[in-house]
Amino acid sequence: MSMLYRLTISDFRKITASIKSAYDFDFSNFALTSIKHRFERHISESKYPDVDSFNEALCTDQSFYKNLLSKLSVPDTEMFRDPEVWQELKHTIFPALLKTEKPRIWIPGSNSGEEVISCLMVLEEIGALNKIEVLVSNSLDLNLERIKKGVIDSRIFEISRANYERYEGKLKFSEYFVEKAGKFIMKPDLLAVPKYEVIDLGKNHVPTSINLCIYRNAMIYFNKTLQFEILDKVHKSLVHGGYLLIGVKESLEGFNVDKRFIELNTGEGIYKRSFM
Amino acid sequence: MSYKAVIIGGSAGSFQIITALLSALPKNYSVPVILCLHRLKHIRKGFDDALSIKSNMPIIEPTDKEHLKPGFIYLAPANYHMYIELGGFIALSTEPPVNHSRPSIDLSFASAAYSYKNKLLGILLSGANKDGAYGLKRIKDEGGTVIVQDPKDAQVATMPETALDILSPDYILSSKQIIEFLLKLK
Repeated sequence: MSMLYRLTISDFRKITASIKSAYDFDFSNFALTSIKHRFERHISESKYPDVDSFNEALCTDQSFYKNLLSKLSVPDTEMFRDPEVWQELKHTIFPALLKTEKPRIWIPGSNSGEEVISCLMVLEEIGALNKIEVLVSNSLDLNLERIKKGVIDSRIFEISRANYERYEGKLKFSEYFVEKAGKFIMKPDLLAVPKYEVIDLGKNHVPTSINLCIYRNAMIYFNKTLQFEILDKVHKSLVHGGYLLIGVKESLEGFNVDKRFIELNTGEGIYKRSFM
Repeated sequence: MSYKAVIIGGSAGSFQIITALLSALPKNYSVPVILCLHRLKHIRKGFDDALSIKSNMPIIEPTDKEHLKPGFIYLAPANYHMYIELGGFIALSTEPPVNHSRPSIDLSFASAAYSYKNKLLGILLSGANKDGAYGLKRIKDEGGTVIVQDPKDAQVATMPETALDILSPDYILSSKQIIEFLLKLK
């Protein structure tokens, strides 16, 4: 790691306060160290030599601000992260969904599309692509545009291909991508399947009648207060018996979990909404 | 003890000293011990078990926002970065690798440095890349105490040598001396 610009806590508060007053976006319930680190990285990489000039540009130039928000959002790590979870989806959860009427999947936590592509490829593999509705949402339209393009970095592509082998997928993985200038681009037909919608989980309404919500490694960037607010909405969006996927190292502890969710696979982050 | 936490970073060649250290530390050690070790990203299970065989303290691969408690070892989980937040709890992250590593020792060290200031003891062990040096410097800059494993004693010297290039540690110790140092702290 190279030497980063070091933000003092008061400088950090100054930036987030001006973002709040200029754009009404609130960072106060973000996990502090990681968001501060991401700000430090982007200030170091930007052309601005100090916090004040960075801050001024941020508050006067809306496109700079929007780009920054998108850059601050953490991309999905890879496709088929934790292959065992995708096996569980294929063998247990998707077949259960197919027995219900008009099943709906909601993916609110993907910032760069790898989670979305993984889900679509599993649906394609079991021939369920047209039988289950998929809704992809993000608080930023820039992130949705990025997801729709389906461009995967070559390093992440290789990791994903190895994950896919561990998942024991039946599709010819590489045939779903076209290599172009060192990147891998997903062929457009699968990514045309979902509906895409801008939803800010902190502020907006959420969809209803969801049978499966895939929301892995996204809440980790928030503190417990915001996590609970969002979990409350996610809980309500699910049908009784609907499934929730969170990251393998995330926890619903403190969220009255015993009453609201049943943990299906310990250590895999797979939950089912109880009948409360 | 004048410290509130001990944080240890290691990579290639550090497994032996880590297990020796875990078997030497007593069950009721008075601070949390945080381990950030490079590990295979796709192998989620088994590493904590392998370390537990020798350890007197329970080893936890923490979940996000878990609070740190004395007498426990916290091992950074596979394929996550592990930040230590103000207030003494864990915040996990899936940000891109730093120094080709996730977990990155630099990120764990730098965040712990910020949270614990001069109440932190940081130890950097054997390893084949440069991760950890910058984070150790942050611990030093925040007033914490830092120990670098003697490169002559380390199985792979790159990591301690990189640290010594950018900072003057409080101690340069062999693995045996590091264990003695930690035992004296109780």
